[in-house]
Amino acid sequence: MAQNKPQYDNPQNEAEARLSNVVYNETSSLRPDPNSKPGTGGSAEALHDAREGVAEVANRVIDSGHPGRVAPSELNDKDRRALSAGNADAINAHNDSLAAARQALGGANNTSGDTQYRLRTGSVSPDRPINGRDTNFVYGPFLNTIGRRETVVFAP
Amino acid sequence: MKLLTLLLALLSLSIQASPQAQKRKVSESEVKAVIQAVEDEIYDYGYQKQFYQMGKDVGTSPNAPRSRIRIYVEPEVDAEDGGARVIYKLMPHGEVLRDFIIRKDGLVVLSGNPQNGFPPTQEASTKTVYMDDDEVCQLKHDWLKEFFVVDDSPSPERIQEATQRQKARTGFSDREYRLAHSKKP
Repeated sequence: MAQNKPQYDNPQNEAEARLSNVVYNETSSLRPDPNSKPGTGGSAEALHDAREGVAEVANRVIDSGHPGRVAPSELNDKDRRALSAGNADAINAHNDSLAAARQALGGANNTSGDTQYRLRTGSVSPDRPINGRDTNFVYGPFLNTIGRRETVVFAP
Repeated sequence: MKLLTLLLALLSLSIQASPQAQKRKVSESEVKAVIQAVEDEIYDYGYQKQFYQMGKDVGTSPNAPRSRIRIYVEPEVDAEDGGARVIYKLMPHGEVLRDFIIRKDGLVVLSGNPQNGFPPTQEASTKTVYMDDDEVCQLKHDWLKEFFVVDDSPSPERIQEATQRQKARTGFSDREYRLAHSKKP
């Protein structure tokens, strides 16, 4: 009988592993909005773009010596268990996070050098500045695992 | 041209008039469910010893302290998903602000995972130290003021209840994971 279990992609080096874990820890709670059409705000494509942006900014923040300003680069117990148990949502999120990390480490700069991002609850305006800086990119809203809407916003 | 202008104006009006999320008052039983979710998570992650000398000791013996801690609950919840926010001290992390939802079965599920440390990037589950002081003061002033209690040495039954409800909430119990992997909290 054919196995349909999703495959957990493996990082090629430590930098990829660490950055993909950061992206995963930041975004694994997000899901595409099932009512969203391909290419629009809450779609799977938009979620990947958001992850790539998170990877780019997190990479800059970590490179500048501030790993504490983003999520941890190690997986927590819950996510480790979800991945090892073959949870499809967790594996898809980790594979997408790894792809985003590879793009960021390969030099992608779709965030125009931004240094901040926030996962923002749907009731707060995406236009609200981050530390006094106006937001310049907004992705979402996506649904999170508890069923609430969240956007991913970026700022210089 | 006039028709186009009118259509644009109507479109603009419809965007501006898009309704805010409908809210309703949170009930007493729902506030209790929020407090239960907060306490259950503490016991499931084994954080109870971290509350030593926090809040008022309401235990009956110095050998079995019970810390009574303030918790601030948003007084209105989203009418659709039962979502709102809460502020409280979650040791060893410090004071946190977290989104929650009230499920149809009455269980409250908190946003975020304590093991991720509530970084500044997660506005739905973050430490209040990353927020604007005036905003935090205003929220605490406006929200419902309640207490939760952390037992330094909870009974095995209480821990088991917390474990079972955590699994019902998130499909995961940190206590069970630790026991299976011989890890300490």
